[in-house]
Amino acid sequence: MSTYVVGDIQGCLQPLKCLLKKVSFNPDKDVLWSVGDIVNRGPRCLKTLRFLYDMRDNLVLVLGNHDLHLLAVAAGVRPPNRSDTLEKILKAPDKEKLLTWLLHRPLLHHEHGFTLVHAGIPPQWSIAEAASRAREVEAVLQSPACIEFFKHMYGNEPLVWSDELTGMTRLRVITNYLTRMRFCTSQGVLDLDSKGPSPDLDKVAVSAWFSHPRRKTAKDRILFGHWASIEGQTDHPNAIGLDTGCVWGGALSLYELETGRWTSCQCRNGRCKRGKCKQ
Amino acid sequence: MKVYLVGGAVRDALLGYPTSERDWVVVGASPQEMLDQGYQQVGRDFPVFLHPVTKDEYALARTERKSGHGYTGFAVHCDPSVTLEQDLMRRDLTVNAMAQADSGEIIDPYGGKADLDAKILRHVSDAFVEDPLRVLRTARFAARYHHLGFTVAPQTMELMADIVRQGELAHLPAERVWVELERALGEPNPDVFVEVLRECGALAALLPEVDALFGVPQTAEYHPEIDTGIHTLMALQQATRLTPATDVRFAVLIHDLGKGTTPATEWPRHIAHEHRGLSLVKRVCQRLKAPGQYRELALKVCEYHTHCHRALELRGKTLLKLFNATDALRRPDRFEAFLLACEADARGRKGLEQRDYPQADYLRRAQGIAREVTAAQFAGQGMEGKALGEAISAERVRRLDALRDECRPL
Repeated sequence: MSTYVVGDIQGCLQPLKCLLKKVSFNPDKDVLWSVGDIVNRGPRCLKTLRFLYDMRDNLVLVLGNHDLHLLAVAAGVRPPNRSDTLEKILKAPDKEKLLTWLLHRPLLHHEHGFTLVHAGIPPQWSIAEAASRAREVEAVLQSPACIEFFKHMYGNEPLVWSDELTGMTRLRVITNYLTRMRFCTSQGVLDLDSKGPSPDLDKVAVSAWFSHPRRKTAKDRILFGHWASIEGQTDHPNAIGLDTGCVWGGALSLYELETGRWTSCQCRNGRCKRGKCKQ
Repeated sequence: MKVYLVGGAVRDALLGYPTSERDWVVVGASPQEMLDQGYQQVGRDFPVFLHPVTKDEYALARTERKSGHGYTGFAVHCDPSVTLEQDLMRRDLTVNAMAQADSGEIIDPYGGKADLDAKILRHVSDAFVEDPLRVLRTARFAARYHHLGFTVAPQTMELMADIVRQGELAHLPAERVWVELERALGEPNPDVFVEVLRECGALAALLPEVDALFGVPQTAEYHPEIDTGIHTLMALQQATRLTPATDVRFAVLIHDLGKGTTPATEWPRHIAHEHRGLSLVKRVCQRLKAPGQYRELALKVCEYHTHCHRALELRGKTLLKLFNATDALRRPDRFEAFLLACEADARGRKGLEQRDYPQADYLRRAQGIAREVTAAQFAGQGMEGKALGEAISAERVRRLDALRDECRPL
């Protein structure tokens, strides 16, 4: 039995199938973990969602910011953005079944000594703290209050966690840490503007969330996606970055937990680049 | 005329599970023949008789057809031509639709034995939807046999959800709901009863105050399980480990209802939820027509469970207030039930299931100390009425403060 972790798929179904074929993924024995962002920006979002739903018994999926955005749009609290590629899902006859399933996915998963999360864990939180805060958001997502949550989900404030935070503000900062963070200060003050491999010039004192030497999770192995521009390079053996920019003309990457082996598939416009791996 | 053992007795004998009731079906007899043989008729219009010696129930084989809403809307058809198979077909679950003849032979036309072996609770026929009480009965059987591995068949769960969607549960008399709830609370896994009701949507119809707890976050520091609904189920599991008393289990089920009314802006904190819960507990008890003993205990647990958790910090004056409010000094047995419910609440938290609850023993000791102070001790001082009461209270507070000082960590 093997556990494979895949990076941000974002509707690139063909590269995903290609990778599973390359490693001879056995649905009777093997398990796939996904760092989230399974949809949006890419071409085959509905098919990707259906594909993952059909293999749900062998799948661990944590929600990414694009997945949450899809759920918020589907709930009617937010219009789609111009660059969204979600229309087919929103019109699908099996939409309710698929989205109900998606809504019940966690924000953080911890197993086999690994922690799976879409963006990361801020320096001032332990794994246990991150897990229980993720549960707070999950509890609300899975209740009728999810509509209220989606209404308050968007926004960058507050920039930093405090135990005193309550209500939707509290849930928003938890969600921003777990699904949107790239850069922050050693105290966990977020910089949600910088997207590149380095912070914007005007941002002093911030660096990649995993690079802070006194990070509480420095000794924990964390699997994350979300950050295409670092191309999986973290320089920290315990921080394992899976997003290699598949939807942006990069590659989709697969990491085998038991062996540490990497497999990848070059992607262009959501398809395998060289057409070698026709499905 | 032939007589068969039916229902629960057959099911539990095959399971090797203890059963108390033995129900019989009589095929090929008329009411007059039963009376002639000395059986006593139970109701005037209902073909059920009591055995003259054993008092077991003997029912003439019958068929039923729905003729209106709810539990009572049935047309009963019974005459000597109704067969055993027809009688078994009107029953709810296949495992309950088996009969046993004198010879020991099992009559099982609907696959009850196979479902028993596969540990599945499955409806006998689509007529299942004709009686909304079956939603609760099926959930109760799930609670009864969960530890043996039984689950509700997905198709049966669908029918239960259909019944809920049709609004049929609203026609159930409160007394019937209460009987099922009370019996479910007495089963080995009453939390499963709640979960099954939630899965088919019946919890929102019957106990919306409990349903509302799911998805309400609590502080991880005190509640690592976060979700208030999950906490309620875990506390109910702990109550089941601690006591067979169904009033304690009921009080645990509804102890945190106030958390369902906390404004979302205050999550995950639940300030004053004990007080906010009181009106909801009253509402639930009134709607279900819960007996007074259940209502009283549930109200006390709702209002004072946090006091109980903080027992070791409480000053003598506050302890005495707690004792007076819970009637601990006059009704030690009811106070014991209160303590069990609070202990179940404290242990119904993820990772804290095995934790000691020293508060209970401390309060038992404090209660004993307070009860030692009696009016007789002040007899020689010529006090009476209000003055006497105040003197007793003052002495109790003094002794309780001394206990607190003795037990406080330095």
